[in-house]
Amino acid sequence: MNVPELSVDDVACLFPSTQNIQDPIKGGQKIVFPCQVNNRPTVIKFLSASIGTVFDDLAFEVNVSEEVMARTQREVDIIARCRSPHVIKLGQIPLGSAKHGSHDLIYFSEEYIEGTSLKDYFRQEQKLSLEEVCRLGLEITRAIAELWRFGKIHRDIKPGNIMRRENGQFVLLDMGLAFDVMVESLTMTGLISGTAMYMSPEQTESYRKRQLDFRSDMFSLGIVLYEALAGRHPFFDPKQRLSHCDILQAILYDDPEPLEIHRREAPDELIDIVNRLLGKEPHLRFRSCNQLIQRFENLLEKL
Amino acid sequence: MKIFAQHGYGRTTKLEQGLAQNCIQGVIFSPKDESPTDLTNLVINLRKEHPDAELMIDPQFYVSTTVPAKDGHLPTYPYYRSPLSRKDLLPARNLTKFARQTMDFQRMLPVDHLLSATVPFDDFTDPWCQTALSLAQESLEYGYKFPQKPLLLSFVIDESAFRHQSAMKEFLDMITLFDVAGFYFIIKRRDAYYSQQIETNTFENLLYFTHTLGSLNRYKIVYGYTDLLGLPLQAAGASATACGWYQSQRFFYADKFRPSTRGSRPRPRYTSLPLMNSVLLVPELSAIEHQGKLQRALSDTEVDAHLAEDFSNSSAEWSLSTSTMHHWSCMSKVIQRMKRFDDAGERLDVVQTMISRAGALYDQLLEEGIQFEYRSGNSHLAQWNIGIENFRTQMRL
Repeated sequence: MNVPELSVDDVACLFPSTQNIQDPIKGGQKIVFPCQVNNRPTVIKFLSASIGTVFDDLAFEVNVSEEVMARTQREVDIIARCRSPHVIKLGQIPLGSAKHGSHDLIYFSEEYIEGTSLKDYFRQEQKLSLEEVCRLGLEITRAIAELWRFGKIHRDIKPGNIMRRENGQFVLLDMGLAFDVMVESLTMTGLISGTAMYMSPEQTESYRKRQLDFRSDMFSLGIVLYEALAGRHPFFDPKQRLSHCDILQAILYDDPEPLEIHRREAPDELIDIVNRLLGKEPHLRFRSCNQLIQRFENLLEKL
Repeated sequence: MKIFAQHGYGRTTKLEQGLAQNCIQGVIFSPKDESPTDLTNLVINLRKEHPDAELMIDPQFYVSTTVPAKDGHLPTYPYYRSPLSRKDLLPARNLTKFARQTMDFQRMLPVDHLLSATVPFDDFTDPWCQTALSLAQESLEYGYKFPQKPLLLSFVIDESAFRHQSAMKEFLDMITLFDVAGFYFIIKRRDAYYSQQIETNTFENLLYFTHTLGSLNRYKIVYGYTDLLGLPLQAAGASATACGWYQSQRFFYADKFRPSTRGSRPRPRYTSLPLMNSVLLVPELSAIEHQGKLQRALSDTEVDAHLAEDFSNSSAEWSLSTSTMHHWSCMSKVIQRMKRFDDAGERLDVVQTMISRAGALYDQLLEEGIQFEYRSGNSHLAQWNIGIENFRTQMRL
């Protein structure tokens, strides 16, 4: 999918009420403009209304119909109702669509978070402290629980979608506003949405038409936590050039190296939690977010 | 980890005795075998006498789909409908009604858990399974209104369903989303003859099923109509298993509720923990005694002392009641041993050690010419051991 080609001037023209529009950040399938709306730090995100898979080597396009926009609106409404401090808040510019040249665009806005993405944090620090790993687990589980309260799952939990605020709090970004709406169209073709390296086994098996639930997000969180503890991905070394098939194969069938090898001081309880999250079947993980939250809370008390 | 009595026909004072002697810690009542008034009085009296006992009623709604049915007192219960076809179970309003009425009857009584209405199914992919899940869902929604009486969702599943692991896993994915206290399972056996045997693959998957729900997902898991097989199930993660006094209360076979002409009294049996089996008092245990090996086959409970001292007289007085108390005591004894361990692997070690010793003892007895009939033989030991080994490998326990 092409990232929409937009300039600061284009955004100023589309939204005259915005101030201090900064240079865009291009990432994945969207282009993001930090700015101020009514003096509040905000980001405006634009996506092409023709949506493809996340894989660079697979191009696929689906047109966004009115029905899709309506469903996206419902998703937005859910996010707006989320009360968890660990779920990103929507900004003041509501969901909408626009035309830019020959491109159809979808846009929406979110609060701007001062902090570092976990991806960058991993790059700098490699591993998190044990306490931070537990807090990361606890807070992102709370975010997953909040989404599931509305029957929604994130589908794309990964370090790049987790921000660490300057006060240390973790926040889950990119609620799949556009992702969710494309899933149906994409899965109809047998393709998969989500970032392959952080997918749950059931996400990779879209042909089985299994209903996904919050436990799919738990698996992705398990990968993130393993990475935070071990300083490496549980199923493969990202420096290796692996095909999509290799990645999916590893997620479906490989066992991670024992965490104890990479983090000797990690308590058994924490290792047990991460191993449970990485269970190949949803029923091997945790049956409720509350169960997992309780485990993290108990562990944090002990640390 | 507990042993419950599976109540049934011919109870006399066995329940009171079992609870008083603490060889059972609870009772699962059978409405088929008592009128509503008698059942109500029984539950109230046992609750008064044994406030710590866990009491629950298996509503036996699943008998509704058996035609013709040998359903005893069940037609006098307000929730029971017979005969029910699949057509009767399709409308959502019927399912709601059946689920609610079944729970309403139980919640008026001093029971610890409510058990939901269900229908039996043979495979995780068959339409009856879907009906059972719908009934569970209806019961669950109604159950939220009565938090003081936690709900156990009932399922009656044919053992052959456990041969298909991928279907079983999908079923597990579904039921582990239920926000409920636990489950009450009955495994419908294919073989109409009581024995400890079970197919290795079925057993392995049953252990996986139990461990996933009980140990990993922390549901309360109760198995009805089990026998010694309940011991490895408890080791894997079940909270309680129930068995009764007659063989028909120790395993559940497909035709259990069909009219039958059979029904002769079974020959008295003795539960030998060293053999991990129930053997015939005569001629099997008596032959062991004759060979001077009795002490090695005795289960070492209070009752055994009489047998060791005077086998011929004690065995002649081996009543159904004595045999029942002894059987429950044997099961409780193993449970006490397993209770010392929090880890399923260590509990399974207890069972596997017993299996291995039982195998060695059988070998010695067979070498000495002692013959065992089909149900008393050692075939189950290898099945159990392989099933447990495969399960442990799969779960890395």
